[in-house]
Amino acid sequence: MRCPIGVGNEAEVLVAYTTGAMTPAEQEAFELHMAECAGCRELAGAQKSVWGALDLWKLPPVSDQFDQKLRARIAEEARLPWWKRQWSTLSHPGFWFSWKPAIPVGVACAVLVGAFLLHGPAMHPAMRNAAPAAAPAAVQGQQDAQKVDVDEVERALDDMDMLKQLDAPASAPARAPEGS
Amino acid sequence: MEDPQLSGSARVSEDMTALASLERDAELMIRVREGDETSFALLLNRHRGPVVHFLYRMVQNQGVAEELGQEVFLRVYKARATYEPTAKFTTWLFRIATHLALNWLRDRKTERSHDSIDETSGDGPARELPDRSGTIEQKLVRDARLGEIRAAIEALPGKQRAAVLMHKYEEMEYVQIAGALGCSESAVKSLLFRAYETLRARLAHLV
Repeated sequence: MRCPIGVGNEAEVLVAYTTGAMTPAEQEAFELHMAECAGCRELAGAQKSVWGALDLWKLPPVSDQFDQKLRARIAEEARLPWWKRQWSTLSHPGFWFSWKPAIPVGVACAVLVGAFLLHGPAMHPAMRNAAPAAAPAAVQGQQDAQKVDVDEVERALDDMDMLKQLDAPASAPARAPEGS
Repeated sequence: MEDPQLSGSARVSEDMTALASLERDAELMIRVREGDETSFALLLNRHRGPVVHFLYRMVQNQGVAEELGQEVFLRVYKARATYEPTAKFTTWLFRIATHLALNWLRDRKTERSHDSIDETSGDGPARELPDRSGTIEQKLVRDARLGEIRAAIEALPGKQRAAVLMHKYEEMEYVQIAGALGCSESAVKSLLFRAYETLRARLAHLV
């Protein structure tokens, strides 16, 4: 048998040996190995001592009132309305303990949402007032804005044409004396 | 449309097959689900001692252990309607017990007081089985040893403590302990080996 300490599974072998979980063949092999290995012998001895020491801890029997108290609690539970029964589950410290890790995350999320609502991009007052009018009004407004833009561009082009026409007669007499 | 009689008999047949492979505890629990109070009394009779003793060794207080033990069985009773024998009954039972004990230990760690316990409890020394044999000197030695054992167990982290107690005193297999602790079998082995290593260092001189 290879030394369990060398292999790194001494704990498993020791526990199996002490608890009698080994097969007779495994036990015989380990005992043969222990006869030659001082390390394993020492560990096995210590583990057996622990096992024996734990056996010393005897407990008194359960009290006579245990069942009576349990029955009383069951009867008390049965008398509660359904919502109180749910509440007793929710108000049990164990229930909230299981949610403890989620509580800081939840609080952090709530703070972030609150901060966003308070300090996030502000809505224009006109838009805030118009908010109930919602989508159709917004679409109409966008179309109007586009129409205004096109009109303005057309007007600007007309102005430019007009300026060109004005510019042409004005520049012609200036060139005439040059040619003469 | 499905024939109700046929589906009913098929279900009974399925239940019978399931029951055949189930342990007696699960069978009793199924009867409790169907409203049989005697089966609950039988379950209580079978598991009251191991559960309360496990809790006692976990919290090291008789009154607290009994109150938590009542809570375990109350939860079992309340869960009877939804009970499905997917795991071994004792695994489920010790899962509830471990959960309650670990919660109690955590709460006590932060509060160091537990007002709801009745007068038999308190944070005083735990009651042990009185041993009237031997001289006063022998008794003192025994008490000192017991004190060391209790202190060594109490010093273990909660999950290691639960694993050792289930392994040593309840003789549960690794897979069952894993089920009760909600972790893998290899994690249980690791917990146990670390716990025994600590205990070897503290208790090897005792026997």
